[in-house]
Amino acid sequence: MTVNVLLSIRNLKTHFFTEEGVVQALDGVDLEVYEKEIIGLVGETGSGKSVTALSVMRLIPQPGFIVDGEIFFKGKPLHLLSEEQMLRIRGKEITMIFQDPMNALNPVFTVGNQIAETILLHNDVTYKEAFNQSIELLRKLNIPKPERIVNSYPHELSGGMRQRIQIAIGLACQPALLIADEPTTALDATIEVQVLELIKKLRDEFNTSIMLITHDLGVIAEMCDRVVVMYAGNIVEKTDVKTIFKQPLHPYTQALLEAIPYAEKKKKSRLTTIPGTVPNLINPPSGCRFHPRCKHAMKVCKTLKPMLLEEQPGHFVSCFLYSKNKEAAESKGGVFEPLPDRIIY
Amino acid sequence: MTEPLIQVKNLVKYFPIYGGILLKEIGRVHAVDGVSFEINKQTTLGLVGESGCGKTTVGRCTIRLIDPTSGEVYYNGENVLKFRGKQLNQFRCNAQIVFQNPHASLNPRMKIKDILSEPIRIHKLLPKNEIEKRVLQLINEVALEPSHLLRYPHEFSGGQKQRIVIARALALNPEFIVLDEPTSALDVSVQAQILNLLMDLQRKFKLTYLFITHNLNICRHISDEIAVMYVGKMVERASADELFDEPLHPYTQALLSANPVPDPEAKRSKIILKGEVPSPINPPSGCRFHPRCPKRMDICDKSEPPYIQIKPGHHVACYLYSKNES
Repeated sequence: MTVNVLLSIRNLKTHFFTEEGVVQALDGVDLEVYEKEIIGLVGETGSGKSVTALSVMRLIPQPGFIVDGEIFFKGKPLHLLSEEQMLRIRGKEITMIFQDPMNALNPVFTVGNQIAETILLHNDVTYKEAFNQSIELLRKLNIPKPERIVNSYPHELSGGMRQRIQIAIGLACQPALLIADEPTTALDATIEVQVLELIKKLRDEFNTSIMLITHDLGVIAEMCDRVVVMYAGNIVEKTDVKTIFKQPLHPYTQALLEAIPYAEKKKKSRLTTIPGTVPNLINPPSGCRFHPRCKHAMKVCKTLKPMLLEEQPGHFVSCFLYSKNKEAAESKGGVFEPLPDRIIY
Repeated sequence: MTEPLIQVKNLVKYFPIYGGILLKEIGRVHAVDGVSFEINKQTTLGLVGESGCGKTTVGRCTIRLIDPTSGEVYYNGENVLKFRGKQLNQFRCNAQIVFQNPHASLNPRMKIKDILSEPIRIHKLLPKNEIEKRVLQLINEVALEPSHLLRYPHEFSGGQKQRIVIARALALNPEFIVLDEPTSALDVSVQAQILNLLMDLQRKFKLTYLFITHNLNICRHISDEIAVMYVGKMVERASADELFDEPLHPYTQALLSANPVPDPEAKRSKIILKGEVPSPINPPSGCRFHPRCPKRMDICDKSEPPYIQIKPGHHVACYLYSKNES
């Protein structure tokens, strides 16, 4: 099986120029999405998962700008396209579904109308054909009574159903890439499974690559082929899903995995915690952004910024604990001693 | 040790819906419809269920933030709903609540010092000159620094705010705390800190918790007993281990199988329920789970299954397990 790169992001930097200062939301993100894969972006609030997705869609809200970096989609440089050219890609080649389905749908139009709108915009069809296509689409997504659903308004539908409508809108033009930004966070457990199963099925039926953004490692384990772990605007680790759970290398990934209460773990035992909180990105820590909370922090972590290097085949990590980064840092004169007197609260 | 601190018997709470020109009552939300349970001293009862199943309403009724439509709540053997005046004030000291959203639970115009001392002043628990000492002690309990006392809530992160809310709940030396989704607004790494803190405090101050959550993993971690609710009814209650190892009710089984496990190699058969959670305004007849139940029988839509004890400490409401299917 040959793997083709669908989307590649190189050294992406997105900053927000606010009154309080420049928020460095993304600080050099390198990422590629292959065809027909589900890639998971995982991280805490403010780690830059959503900003990465919005940068790809070129939908960054004011006052944010892509200040550096390249985004290539099927060889096209998305970061250089005009707004008009971008309009032809959004909704047709790359689509996005959002966390809150109520705010993503227009309350004054029927859902059939909203699905047909997308089809009409990108294809040479009449409204009637587009509307019929939307019924077909809902049928493909196993939505019961599609003829009735298309004529209902968003407020008449439940949360899970609205999320499925959003997915239908996203798939209306059979895009090559679907970005799902926390698609199930607003849903209940039993509905969440339904929606996740649906997304999984899509990859097989529509041959769509899916970028799944979530903070739930359980969802990652069940859905994804590859995982990207983000922390404070950086990618700290990137590898396939089995390795990330079996052999996490970066201290942040390790700590994150230990911090989740597992149903199988012995109850009432103490959870391992990560001290401190996610840093403020207006004034991020120097060097490795995780070093103030890291239990392995060394002097070099404060002075130099680790790079995302391939430590093992297919396993990228940005940490000075591992050979590739160590060599690079030694040549620059990094000091590998534990950091003295750190205050963690 | 095993005597119950809180006993809830047949708790019912309906919320009226008003509509029409004359704003008459046109319907009722059956938020909680006959729920019974007890919580033993110094233990944690985890209450799980999907949104709209009435978990929060149960939590609020047990500490009498809202009065139930019918049913009884006993605290140390005394009927909470009959408390008046001084007795009620005393109960307010003994039972506290921590809400889901720490950002909305703190008054943005008050300093942390004032937020923590307010309950002590209102209940006149300590003379004025000792309040400061108590506040310092509280802030230490939740692992914050004394310098934080002079700040305002907006200067803190979500996890720190939740610590402040917990400190405020502890201010009156309560015996019983309702924790209403205390970690759902927090990040994973901070969530672990708060859970550890809650468990430490429970041991130290001999607290009893009612822990309301929709996250089964967290629930198993912190709870001794778990109760599962579905559309206003309690469907199953058992010790945490037993519920996970041997779930009896089909809804519990589905809920457990839907629980995402952070292990990509875990092979599990998933029970995917069809349909949506029914509306509590017009709940299904008979067993409320029957329209989605994979093991439905004829009797399920006709009459409500009784909530019975199957094994010691394991209660379930399902006709699969009741002997007399009349």
